[in-house]
Amino acid sequence: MSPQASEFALGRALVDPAATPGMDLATLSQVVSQGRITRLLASLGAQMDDCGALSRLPHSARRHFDSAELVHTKQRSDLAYDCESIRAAMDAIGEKLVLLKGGAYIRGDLRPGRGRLITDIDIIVPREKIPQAEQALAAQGWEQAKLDPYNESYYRRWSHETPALVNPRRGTTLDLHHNILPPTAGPDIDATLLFEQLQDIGDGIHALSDRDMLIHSATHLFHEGEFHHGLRDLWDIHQMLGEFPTRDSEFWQGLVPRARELQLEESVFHALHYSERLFGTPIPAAVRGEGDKYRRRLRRPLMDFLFRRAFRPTHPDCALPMTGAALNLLYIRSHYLRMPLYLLLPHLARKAWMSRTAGKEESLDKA
Amino acid sequence: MPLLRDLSFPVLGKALSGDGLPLQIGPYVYRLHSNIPVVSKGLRTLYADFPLAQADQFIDFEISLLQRGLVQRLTGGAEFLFDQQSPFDAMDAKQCYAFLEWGMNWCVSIHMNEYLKLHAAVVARNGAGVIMPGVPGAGKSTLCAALSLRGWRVLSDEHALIPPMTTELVPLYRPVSLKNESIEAIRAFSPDAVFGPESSNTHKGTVVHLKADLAQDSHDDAPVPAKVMVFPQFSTEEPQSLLQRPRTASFVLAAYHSFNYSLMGVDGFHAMRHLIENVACYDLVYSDLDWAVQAMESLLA
Amino acid sequence: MSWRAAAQGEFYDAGEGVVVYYDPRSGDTHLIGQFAAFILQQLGKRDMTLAQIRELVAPLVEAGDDGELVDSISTVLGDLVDLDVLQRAEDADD
Repeated sequence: MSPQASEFALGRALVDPAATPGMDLATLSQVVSQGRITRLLASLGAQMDDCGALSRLPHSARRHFDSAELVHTKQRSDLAYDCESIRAAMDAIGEKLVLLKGGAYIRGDLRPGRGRLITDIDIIVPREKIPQAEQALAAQGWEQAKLDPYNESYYRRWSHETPALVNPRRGTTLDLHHNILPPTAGPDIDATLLFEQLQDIGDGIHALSDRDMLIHSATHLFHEGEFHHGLRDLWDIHQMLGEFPTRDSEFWQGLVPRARELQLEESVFHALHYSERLFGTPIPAAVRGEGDKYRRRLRRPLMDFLFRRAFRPTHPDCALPMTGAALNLLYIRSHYLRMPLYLLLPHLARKAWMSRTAGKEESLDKA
Repeated sequence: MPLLRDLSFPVLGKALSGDGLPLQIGPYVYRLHSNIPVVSKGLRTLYADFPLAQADQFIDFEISLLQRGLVQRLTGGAEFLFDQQSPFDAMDAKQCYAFLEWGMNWCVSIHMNEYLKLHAAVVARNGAGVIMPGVPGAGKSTLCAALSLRGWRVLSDEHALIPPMTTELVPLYRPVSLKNESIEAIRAFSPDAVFGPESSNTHKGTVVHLKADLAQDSHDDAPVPAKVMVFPQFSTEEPQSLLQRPRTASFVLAAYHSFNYSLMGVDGFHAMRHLIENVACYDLVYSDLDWAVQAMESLLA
Repeated sequence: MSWRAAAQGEFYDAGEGVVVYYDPRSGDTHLIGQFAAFILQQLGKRDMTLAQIRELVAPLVEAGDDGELVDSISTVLGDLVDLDVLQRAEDADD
């Protein structure tokens, strides 16, 4: 069975970047547009660069990839600079700087880090060190963003991260986590397990172990409300699954036991399943076998209906009926996983109200 | 190349509500979709002389301004979509022409980085280009509009596109946006001025666009060399003046007005330095448009 | 204690008394005084103590009170540290 990514233009380009220059201009336009939506344009550019396809693109399409690559390069150098002050803060409290997600992929020179765009820097510290970490970060210029009291108390009580910190001089945002899932999400993850297996990624910066990075990305994808970036997250997973077994021949053997130890095997099997289905990621038969019971659960039509649509860019050229509604349903589902139901509705209602009154004006300022 | 004016009104409307209207705008191809009458009316007035792009071209920006569903029709709402996502909140259909123009600017501001991009009006006379950076409200568009009505060519009302390490200006002509008092000022300045649809009560007040591609070469795509950078400031408080300004201070101010100077890193620094070293920089304080046009002409004399 | 530039940045000096400095570490662009730019440029070549900077700068400025010169150098160093373009080199040789 060919990967389902071949059902839309961007997916075809990701799966077979070398063939991209042969696409007609109308299809290339779709690739660029879908790449912008999913924030995968620079990632695809890196793939094409590897196989010499980028330089064979017509100029009209090429410049879009170059423009996105420039954004990535700037983010990469900003990240390096911001890590210096974050590291100084962590040094001051005797903790390691541990990057999560995109920041870790980029600083660790991992495959999913190539062309990866980030919106903020995510780090994790032990829960009991959060107040100290906040103080030390404040001394380095990372300030608490002003939140209204409602959001503030929501974060403090129900989230696995503190309200975002911003560096006003730099305009960058830092998310301080103490776990990889919020306490309300169901499985109660023992975060100390994560700290036991950190890896040094250079310059005194650390990341989770390869397996934990993959597990984190999988849980992020299936528990958090970021399905608009679903394709990007799944691409990260596909890239990691391509790279990690080449760095560590034991990677596959240890993955399922580790996921089980963290009580996150369900998310991991879902991620493996969808990565294989969408991008044709090779999964060892033994691992697949273990995931069968979850796969059976996934065959439930509603789940499949939701996820299949969530992994498509929200674009009319590859829209199945109901995509918008499916995305909304998923958003509610993942909020439901994150917190008790009685908390869910007021939060969503507040969110909708606040997003209508704030945030969008900015983009018009220069228009 | 066929022009938009070659399409009859029904054909234009059909394109907009069907496969889309592909327009060549400077180095980019936009494809526009809309089912709102004021959009087709505005395009017919303001974009009559724009070349149509071929249907099988690469499309840089696919843009829709739509009234969708019963609710939007009943409440008079509309939405702007780029890549099928809306960067703006829903708007009143009466303001949608202004949002179309803003949205078309926004695509270039946010995404394209092959040029050093300044938030500036760009004009030219006898093949010599002038860059006029300015914050909204500084009076760059008003001056740009006035110059277009006195024989100058407008290369852009919004974006100076400069290939790095050159002093060339890539034309990206679009209609000139005028707000509030500027609208009357330009009407008074030239009774022949052609305006598009009015959008009232936007977050910037009342907005209309001026058809400013009056020069013969308005839609030439060849770059024009930049000779001068002028920082215009409309003011009735201060005396009118045209004064040369230091290069270093101009460097920093131009960088401030750039959409992507910072994004370009050290290449941005070198590109800006090359530009600043090769243009003369001025502050222009004006309140009278005729005086300002003369002052601009004196710069290229 | 000695000082060093945090990075080898780019200068644009048009002889106007102020100089544009691009800091490749932060990606920030600063407009700094000519005097500060000179010191920063020298500290990009080698680490220097305050005394060494004073020695280097003294012949270039109008003869004046030596205390005043040291004060202005200290102020400039402080400002450059605030911009994060200058660092204290702790392994100083003095």
